Amino acid sequence: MIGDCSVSYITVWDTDNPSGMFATSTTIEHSDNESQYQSHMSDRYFIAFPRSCTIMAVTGLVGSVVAFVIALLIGGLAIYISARVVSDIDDYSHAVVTAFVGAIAWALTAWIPLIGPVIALIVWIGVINWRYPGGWGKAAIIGLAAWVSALVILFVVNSILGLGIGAFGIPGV
Amino acid sequence: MSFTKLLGVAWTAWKFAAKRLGPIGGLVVAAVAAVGYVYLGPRLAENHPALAKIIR
Repeated sequence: MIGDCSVSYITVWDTDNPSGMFATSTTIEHSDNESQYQSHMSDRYFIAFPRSCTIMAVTGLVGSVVAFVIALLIGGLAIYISARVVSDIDDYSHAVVTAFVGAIAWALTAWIPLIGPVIALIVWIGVINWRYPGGWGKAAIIGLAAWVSALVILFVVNSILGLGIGAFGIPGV
Repeated sequence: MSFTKLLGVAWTAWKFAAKRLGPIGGLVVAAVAAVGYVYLGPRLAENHPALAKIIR
């Protein structure tokens, strides 16, 4: 099942077969073309499934992209607030890019067994150190303040506004 | 649509645009984003309810 969209609807058929018999004997609940979406697979085979499945898949994809962008903006907001307070740097887009790069750096290192999270934390602070002036000490303070800021923002956003979103680029939240 | 979300959209648009287009340009982009959010929301809800639910 894909949500309300049953995969039993999906059917592959052989266009070389003049009788129009399906190559796979799956259930077809809507045989008219209007209620089905046809997708070309090859010169010979076609796959068909209900239009509702396509709409759900597209909606799910757009929803994922929107959720990712909002989470990235919130992660960037947390870094922006901390950088503004600690280093007095007023640049939101710089903070959003920092959150994105930090998330990639975290993902690339956190999987290492045993020492992965420690290395990931050091690398994440290293990204902040690379993106903001002031050295490692200030970068660590910006990171800590960003983490606290993200916790506060997510508390407000999720508890008071009733949204269920996260902060991309801030570890542990 | 809550005022807080509208404010968030306008502030985000302002912060991104003001850096590149200056304060006036940023203000224009923020206004366009806020107006677009308000007016396109109902149209999206009418034509694509599932997508509107995600955005709003």
